[in-house]
Amino acid sequence: MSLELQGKMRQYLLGHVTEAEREEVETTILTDDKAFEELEIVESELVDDYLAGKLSPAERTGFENSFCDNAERQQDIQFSRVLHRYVNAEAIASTRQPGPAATFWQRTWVRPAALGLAFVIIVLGTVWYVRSRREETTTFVAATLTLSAGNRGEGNNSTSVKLPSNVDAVKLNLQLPAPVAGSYKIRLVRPSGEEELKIAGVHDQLLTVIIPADQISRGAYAFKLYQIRSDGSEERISGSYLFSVE
Amino acid sequence: MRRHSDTTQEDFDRLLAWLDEDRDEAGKKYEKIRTRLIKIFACRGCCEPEDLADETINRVTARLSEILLNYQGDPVVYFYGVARKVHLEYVRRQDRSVPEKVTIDRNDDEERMYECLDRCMETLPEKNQQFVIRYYQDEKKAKIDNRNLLAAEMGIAVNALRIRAHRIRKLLKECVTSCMTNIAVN
Repeated sequence: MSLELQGKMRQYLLGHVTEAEREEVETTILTDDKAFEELEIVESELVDDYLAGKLSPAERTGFENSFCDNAERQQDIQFSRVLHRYVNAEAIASTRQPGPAATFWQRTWVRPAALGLAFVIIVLGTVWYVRSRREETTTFVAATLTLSAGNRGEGNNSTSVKLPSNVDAVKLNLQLPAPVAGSYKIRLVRPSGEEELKIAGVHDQLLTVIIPADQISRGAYAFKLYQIRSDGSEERISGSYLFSVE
Repeated sequence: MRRHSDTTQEDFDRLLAWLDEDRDEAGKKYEKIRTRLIKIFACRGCCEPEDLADETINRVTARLSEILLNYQGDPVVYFYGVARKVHLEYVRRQDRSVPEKVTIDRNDDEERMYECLDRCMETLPEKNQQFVIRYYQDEKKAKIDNRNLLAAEMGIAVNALRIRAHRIRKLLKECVTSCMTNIAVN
């Protein structure tokens, strides 16, 4: 399938075509099996690009206007988001699998290193245990948020969090759009302004933020996520994590 | 093969006979036309593409006696002409009414979908599981490099790789949809 046709289909899906071009594409996909399959491929790629924040502002507007109006397409977007979440989790898991045990233990440096590592694990385990015991005394309401292209005012992409009066804090797990790389900074956008929050942890492509219940009230919120590179510079990750407290 | 509820079996048989002399082939052509009409209506931003595709087929079926007398050409082209009129009427109706916004319970649905995807991945052959993970992992430039490498390893062109990924993704999506329906029913 030619790159020209791919480009035409992309423009068609974004609604950036004239009536004549639209008829040309539609007649082609009705009569040509390969062209129809190509349209489906371009459609999936467009959804992936949208979720990855790779569309230009004009493409994003076209996508949101012409792409999100029916349940099946909402499910396509949801499926793409879930597929990428799954694939990234699996990719991380597969890189953590150990090599063959016998050859590994035969290496001379491995045993002292393992003893040192065991010591570190015991110390970290103790710290984790003490912290987790301390955390058990706090009651949370938890929610997982995914990166959304929308703004704080757009409620349809927002996750709602019910905050009963008897909980101590809101624990929000932010699904990172890509495997963990470097460190992160998070800013909470409130109706009254923005503030940087402390990150409680980053684990398995989830970044955890804990907000004490007395520091958050009913309303719409958004998180902005920044990636801190090894040279200290920071880059805003496109999109926001939207949620509302009820 | 789904027949529209307003269409009699006799009308439907005549429609199939018009599409192809061989009934099995006619059935395939019918499904193909319906699927593609649904896609076209969805691409035109319609909220109920399936209903509009069925309306199109229904109108063609109702006019079949006239079509058989006066029209000579590819049935697909005739369907497309009717689909455009159906769309025009739909747009006029939309101008007079407030469109209903589709909302999905994202958190619950996505967790169920993730579980279903996990199960569906297990049904794929091991090599296809690995392929999906390699094809869709990484971002931006790394993704492009990764796909070029994958295509080279498999000895196929990048476009053939896209088609392969799409076919597996389509199977997975069908499996996930069916899994979620089963969960909803149970």
